[in-house]
Formats: sequence, structure tokens, C-alpha cells
Amino acid sequence: MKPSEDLFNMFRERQDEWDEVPAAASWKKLERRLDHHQRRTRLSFRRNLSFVAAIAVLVGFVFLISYSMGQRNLDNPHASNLLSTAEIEEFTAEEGDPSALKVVDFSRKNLDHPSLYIKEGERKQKLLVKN
Amino acid sequence: MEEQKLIAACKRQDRQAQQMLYEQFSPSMFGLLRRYMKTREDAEDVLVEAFFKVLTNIDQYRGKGSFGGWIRRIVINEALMALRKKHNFNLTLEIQEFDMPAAPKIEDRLAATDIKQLLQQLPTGYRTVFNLYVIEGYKHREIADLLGISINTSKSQLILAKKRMQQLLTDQSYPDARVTEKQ
Repeated sequence: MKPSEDLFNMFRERQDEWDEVPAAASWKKLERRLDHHQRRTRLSFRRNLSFVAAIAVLVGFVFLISYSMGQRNLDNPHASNLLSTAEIEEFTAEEGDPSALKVVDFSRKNLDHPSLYIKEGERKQKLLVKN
Repeated sequence: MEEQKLIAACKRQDRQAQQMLYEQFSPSMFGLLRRYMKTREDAEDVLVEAFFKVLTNIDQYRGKGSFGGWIRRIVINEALMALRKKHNFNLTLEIQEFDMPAAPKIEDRLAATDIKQLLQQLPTGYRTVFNLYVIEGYKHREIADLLGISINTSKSQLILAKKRMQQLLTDQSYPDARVTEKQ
């Protein structure tokens, strides 16, 4: 056996003799850290729970709004795109710019013929301008 | 309490079980830390930090390998982290060749306290490499990775540690430390 191996073996074999009880204060210190950690974990859990609840309420609210708007659009599919009859009738030239006037004019002409609006048609179809 | 039950109770954050686990493993882990750290206070600080990690990450122990070995690895990592904060392991000179010191044949006469003192008198770099190589059984390549040093530095520090240890043994009334090889 090499001389250095003797020295190494001595340290390996006798390491159990070095066991030593730490000061009692060490456990107290550890316990304080664990308490603090548990408090933080609980707080963090509650915070996450509140966050999830807030998101759920928000999603529910958005869903309700979009649902009710969807219902209105079903009743009148053009309602969201067109000016209402009352708005068209009340609109006067002084109120708006020329482009707005064009829209009002177009809406007035087609008020009774909603089918005249451009439809999307088939996917492959091209929209051509007719001169 | 049986080890598996103790671990399960610790996973439920049962404070009494946590204390039992600490009391069961802290003497051996503190003994280990006393070999790595220069002072008792430093060893106690690292012990608290290491057991905090053990108890808050106990869910990660899957039951593969010994539980004591798992704790020991955490404790050693924590000790190395603490040492790296205070000590630059790269500052030690690298040596290419060194006369291997003769081993002291005084194993039976050396008291445990003497051995501990011997280790504590070694410079941090020597002591750390000596602990990792001799007691934990790491290879020089692994020690180099753990401490962020070259393999040669690790080897040099081990040789220097042994030389210093021999010197200390001679100085501390163990004149027969320099003896001939066993036949």
C-alpha cells in the first residue's frame, strides 16, 4: 500500500468520530426560517388564487357581453355595420364631412334592400370592377 | 420513526417530523461541515441553510439512493457555495511535480480532535480538495468542475495538502510522521 493511501484511509475510516451536535440555536434559527417560508408560501397561494378568481370573473364578464351582442346581431345582421334608421333620418349635411354624407346617402338608398350589399361569394371568385 | 414515514411526514410540513429529521442527521452533517468550514459559526450557518433546502425541497427526493446520501450532497454543495463566495480556488499555485510525502504511521495514536484540528489548520483550498478527494471520493475532474478550477490545480492542492499535513503532524509532537513505506 502506498504511504498516501494510509493517510487517506485513516481519514475515510475515522470520519464517524467527527460527528458533532450543533448548537441548539441552530434548530431555532432553522425553525424561524421554515415558519417564514410557510407564511410566504401560504400568502403566495392566496395571491395566486385571487388572481385566478379575478381572471375568471373577467372572462365571464367578457363572455356575457359578447353573448348579448351576438344576440343583438342575430336579430339584425346588418345592425353592427349600418347606421340605424333614426340616425339616417336625423343626419343633416351640416353635421358631417362629405365622406360621411356619402355613407348616409348610400344607406338611405339601400334601407329597404339590404340584399344589395356585397356578399363574399365563393372563395375562388374574384371581385371585378364594372365600368 | 421509520425513515419512509419520517420523509412522508416532512413532505406534509409536519414540524415535529422536521425536527426529528434534523436531530437524526445534523450531527454527521455538522461533523462534515466542520471539516469544510474554518469556524464553527460558519459551519452552523451552512448547516441551517442546507437543512432549509433539504426540508423545503424534500418533494424532490424520489427514494432512489439513500436519503442520507441525498442530504449529504445538498450539504456539500451548500458548503462549496459558501466557500466559493469567500475564497478564490484559482489563486493557489499549480505545481507539476512534487515529492510525495511519506505517510504517517500514527493513525492509531491520533485522536479524532487532532485529526479535526489538522484539517482546520489547512488553507481553505487544500482542505476543500482534500475533503472532496479523500473523504467524498470525487475524481480530480469532478473536483475541477465543482470548484471551477483546472484538474492540475486540484491535483496540486491535494499534494500540497498532504505535505502541509505531514508538516503539521511533525510540529505537533508526532515526529514519527515521516516514516518509511509499509513493506
